[in-house]
Amino acid sequence: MPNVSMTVNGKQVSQEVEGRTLLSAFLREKLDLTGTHIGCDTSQCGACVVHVDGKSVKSCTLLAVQADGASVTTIEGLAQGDDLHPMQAAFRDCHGLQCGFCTPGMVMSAVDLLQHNPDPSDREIREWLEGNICRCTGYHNIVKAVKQAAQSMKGQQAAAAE
Amino acid sequence: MKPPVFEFAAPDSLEHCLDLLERYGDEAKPIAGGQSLMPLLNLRMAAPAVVIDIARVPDFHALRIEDRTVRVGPMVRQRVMETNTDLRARVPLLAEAVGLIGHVATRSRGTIVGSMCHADPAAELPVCATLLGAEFAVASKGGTRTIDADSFFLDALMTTLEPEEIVTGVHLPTAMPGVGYAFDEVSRRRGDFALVAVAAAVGLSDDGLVTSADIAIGGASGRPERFPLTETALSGRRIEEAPLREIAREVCDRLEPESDLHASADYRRRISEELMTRVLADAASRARKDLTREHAL
Repeated sequence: MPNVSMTVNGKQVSQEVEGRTLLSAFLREKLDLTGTHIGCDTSQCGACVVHVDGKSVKSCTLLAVQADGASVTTIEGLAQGDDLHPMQAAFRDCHGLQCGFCTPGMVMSAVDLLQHNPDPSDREIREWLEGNICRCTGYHNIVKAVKQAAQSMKGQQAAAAE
Repeated sequence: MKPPVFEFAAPDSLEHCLDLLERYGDEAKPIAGGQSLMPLLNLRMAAPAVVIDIARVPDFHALRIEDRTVRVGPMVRQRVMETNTDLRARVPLLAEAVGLIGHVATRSRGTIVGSMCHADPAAELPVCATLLGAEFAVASKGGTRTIDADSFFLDALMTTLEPEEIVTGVHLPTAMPGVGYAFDEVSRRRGDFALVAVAAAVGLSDDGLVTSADIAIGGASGRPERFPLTETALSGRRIEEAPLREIAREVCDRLEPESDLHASADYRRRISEELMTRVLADAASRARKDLTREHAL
């Protein structure tokens, strides 16, 4: 069996896996990082979005062996100890979730959006999140949460610059 | 585990890649970004004995932007077409079409060449390749050859690539001065495959008369179809005086789309006509802007 080594949430991991192991299954079943959810397995729903080398990807359509040598960030890697990432905090404040199934993927996609576009419009947020499906919220509060996170992250950056 | 069992190979050179293809032939399937193959594996609609990951071949990541040609290696991601402004200016047709493929997270992985080789009849990039007359550089243990887009796409999910061959790059002609390009499609949801997708290129003379026109359609048959329209009533006219609707209808009469659960053949024909009318007008208006800009320089 092939051996894969990667950095997951800052920690080096190395394991033997079957070639057919999906990154989503590797994270959940081998590393116990069950925050990454599995919905459709055909890259439509977005519940499994993680960052690979800083870019958001759907971990259900990526083999673990394809991520050999990569740096992976999952939803578990966002908070600093007990302090939620501003995006997580904003989703909680704005009620950007109900059942929570889509939330990890939604948050990971939204964090990637702000890396590219720190001040997105409603339309830009909706277009960026078109690969993340939510069946509860109607998206309205998700958009609100992303806008709030953008504001609070700008605030943090300004404070850090002073 | 969703995908069926397969052997995984990750060659680090073209030579090694070709050795594997020769040894396993149609038992093997190369994987680039995997955004077409992985869903098929997860649904167990594909069951190759060997999956060959081509991402570790350094040359396959090359993107060369030259004056008249853009050479795209098989590992160049679709997302690059969205974010590289020089590339977007050279091949504006692909720049417009790429945003309609899947979602950001799939375009981060999916490759330009991979989508073309998958040859879904409703996919955007094969339509672009067909309109532009792209050329596929192909290698096998036996040597190299070049296949033009017209001969490359055979039928739904089928190309003329032999099992022991691999595409080492697609060569896209860059935008020509005085020619405008446009792409549009109708799909059920954003990011879905198109029901019908249409691309157009229209060239104008300095005084705004149509000198060349071409159209390519995807989703209306098993492969993208190209229709040269230069020898029609479009030529020598200003676009707003040309009988676009009639010309589109004539082309549509030659289409034989199929009905499936997404759309009837009749609906596909009707949206083909509408899309053709729109992209011809859009392409001409972009050609005019291009000319105005040239004159201003």
